[in-house]
Amino acid sequence: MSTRLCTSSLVLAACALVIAYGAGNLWGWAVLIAVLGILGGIGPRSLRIKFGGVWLIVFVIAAANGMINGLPALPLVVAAVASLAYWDLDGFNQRLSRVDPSDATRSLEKSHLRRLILALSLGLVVSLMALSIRIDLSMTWAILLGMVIVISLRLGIRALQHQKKLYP
Amino acid sequence: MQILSGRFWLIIGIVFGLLLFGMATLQGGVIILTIPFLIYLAVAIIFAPPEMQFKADRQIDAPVVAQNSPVQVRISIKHEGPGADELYIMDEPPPQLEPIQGQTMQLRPLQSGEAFEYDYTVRCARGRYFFSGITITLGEHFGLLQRRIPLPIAGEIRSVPEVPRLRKIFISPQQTRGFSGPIPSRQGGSGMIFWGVREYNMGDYLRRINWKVSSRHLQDLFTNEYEQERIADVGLILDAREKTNISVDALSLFEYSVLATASLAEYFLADGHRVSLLAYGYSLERVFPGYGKVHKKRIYHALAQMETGTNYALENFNFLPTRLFPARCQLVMISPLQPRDYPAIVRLITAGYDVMLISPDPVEFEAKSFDVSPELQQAIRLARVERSVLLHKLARLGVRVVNWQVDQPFEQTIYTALGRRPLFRRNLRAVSR
Repeated sequence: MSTRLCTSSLVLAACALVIAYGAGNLWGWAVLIAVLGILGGIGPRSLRIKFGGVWLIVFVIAAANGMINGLPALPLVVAAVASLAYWDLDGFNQRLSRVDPSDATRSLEKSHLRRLILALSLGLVVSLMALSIRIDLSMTWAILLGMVIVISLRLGIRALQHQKKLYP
Repeated sequence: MQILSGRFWLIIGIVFGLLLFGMATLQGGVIILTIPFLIYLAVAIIFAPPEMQFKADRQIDAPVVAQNSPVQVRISIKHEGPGADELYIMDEPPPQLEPIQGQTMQLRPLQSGEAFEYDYTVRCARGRYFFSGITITLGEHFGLLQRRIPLPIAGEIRSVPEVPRLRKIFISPQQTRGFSGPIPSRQGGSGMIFWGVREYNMGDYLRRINWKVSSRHLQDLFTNEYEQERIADVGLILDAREKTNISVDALSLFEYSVLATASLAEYFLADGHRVSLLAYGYSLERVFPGYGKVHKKRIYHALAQMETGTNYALENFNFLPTRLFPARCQLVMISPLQPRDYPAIVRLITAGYDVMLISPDPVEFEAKSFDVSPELQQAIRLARVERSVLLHKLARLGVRVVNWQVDQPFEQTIYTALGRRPLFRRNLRAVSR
């Protein structure tokens, strides 16, 4: 079940991006994304295990690039959500593949899917609502928010380094 | 402590990247793309795994087993805290153990206060294996936040050699011990086998008087004497030198030597003898002389751990420490043997030891693994001749040699070679009579 959903998510993400880039007449990018989607969907499993996060990053960058180029926002948000679903399910499938299927793993799979659908649906709805809201920020607020982001990022990196010391 | 996985940092990286990118380009749409990731992250944090309160236990159904037997390992887990989305248990058995049923790892949801157990079956070759412990990882569904704890539930499996039962081996060392047993001791006294006639002494049983001989003398009486039967000291010498124990396709000749040693130890101890063991390889490993079932276990456990090794100081048997064995006892060498060992065996015989050599044949063992070519045939023939000359020389010295083709059952080979009293001993008996 989760394997099929994983592949479907990847196909959905790729299709949404292709639609968005096609609508903007950026066919070169659309073809490239379609190739990446096909490679992820039918490519060897070892490739996905090794570079599982790469598809997520590439598709998110493609969605962000689409936003900057003024492409339709709806398919881009859908693409980001679907690529997140793909990445999550891919990781989950890898964890599941280490053990033999049993009642326990089946119940685990069900509850995982339930929570993932809940989280992503919420994310999609809130994102779509946010698309209709427009807030104008002054330069001061923008700089302040930027500083908050940089400081948070720095704290995060420090935490990561500390953790690597504890669990090398 | 909570561990933030690599997946967590990837999501964080994407969120910050999109935020910075959105701020830099003044595009609200890019910032909106962070929302699904932030909600995903928030859900993971809400359902973060709780503190771990685990108790675990490992049960091994047979800590001491015969070689290549299946062993069931059961892991019991009891959790005394709140439930978690995902529980991942990883047991790491020694890599030499071959799993044949079940799994060493488990992935399942964890209920509050849940207790459960799982098992798996492994097959183990000869050896001693230690289990270090298990690693328990608790996580939420998205695998971003985890808690990990190693639980040191140790365990041990000793896989001892599988021993074929031997029927009868005649040994007759020059010196026996003081307790009665099955070995003719070359001394007159009480026993089963007729030894000779001597003059009657006060206290002798009247029924032992030899009336025929006594009737030929006017004043004297004579009594029959029987050969005393005693137990003996048996020293087993296992050759664990790497260069004599050839390996072919992961199967070592040493395994056959170990099997033979275990089998002989079992036989001699069952017969009541005092048995000691010396492994001659990387170092001198020794089991001191002893009797009985406990001693048999001691020898088995020592054999379970034996491995071949190279030590240039122990390249041949010249440095075999004879003082480890009682004088003039029975020595049983289990060795594929090499020509340079000959002088050492001569030295043992001159020191008064009765030597028996069980030699797994390395030439035939290795020859079967080669493709046959005329040159190779010639080489194998030469090796056979060299070995047969060596064994023949030893036999002429009085060593009882058993050339064991390892594809033949050991018990059958031993019964054929050692099941009867040696010819020269029988002749000796005839002369003494």
